[in-house]
Amino acid sequence: MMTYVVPIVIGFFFAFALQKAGLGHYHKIVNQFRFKDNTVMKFMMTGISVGLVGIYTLKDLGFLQMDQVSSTYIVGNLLGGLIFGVGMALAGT
Amino acid sequence: MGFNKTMKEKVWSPWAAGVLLGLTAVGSYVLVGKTIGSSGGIENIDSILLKAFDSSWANLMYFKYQMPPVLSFQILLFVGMILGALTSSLWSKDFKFRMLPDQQWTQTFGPSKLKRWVMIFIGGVIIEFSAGIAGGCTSGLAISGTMQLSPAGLIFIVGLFISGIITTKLLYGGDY
Repeated sequence: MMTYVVPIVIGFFFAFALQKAGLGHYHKIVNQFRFKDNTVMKFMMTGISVGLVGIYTLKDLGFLQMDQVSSTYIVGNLLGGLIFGVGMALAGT
Repeated sequence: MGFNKTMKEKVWSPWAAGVLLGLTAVGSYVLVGKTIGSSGGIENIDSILLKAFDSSWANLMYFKYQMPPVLSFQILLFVGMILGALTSSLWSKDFKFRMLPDQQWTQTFGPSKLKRWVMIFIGGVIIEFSAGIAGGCTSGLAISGTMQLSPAGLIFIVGLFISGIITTKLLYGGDY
């Protein structure tokens, strides 16, 4: 039961944060690329900062193991990112 | 500022929403041992569909082992995401059905609904395909990866901003 409930609760708060940041809107995403609205950057960087501090603190205190680190393939990550940006700018999602 | 009043705000400060995102990401790591991501779940759904229709693609290594046809963490995340976004938008009375974006779109691309739907579809295909190449999307790689100090996340952010800026510049032309 918990295996199903916990991911749903996590997803709930994830999308709640996204919606409250206004990132469901086309203009929020596209205007980041036009540098007229820096919501996306502020939102992402705050999320990353809070998560970074939280995860590394809990790791050093021994509460969690960092075994989910995304693997780095320079060509794959960069090429994927380059194509991804095109889709993001077209769709505004 | 009471709790209910805060929830009724249509848009929070991006810093506040970002803190909630960070806490959610930490919670996910501690409780489930997995990182938040959106694109992977779609690939699990693809994998389930390929298997259901007996497609030969279902036997590819990618769909057999990397994105197996199971009810994965990320598919459950989608269920929660729909509920979360729905709750947030209903609570703040921001919920509505839209065929076109509210602002900016019609000034630049005209009132054609078809154009918007074709573009969002093509954009979506490109996003999902490239997330497969890179190993994650904005949430799964850029946010979850970078917060573990994985270089992959930062490389991905650099890539998506370079091409995002160029594409927007091309689309908007002189209006950029």
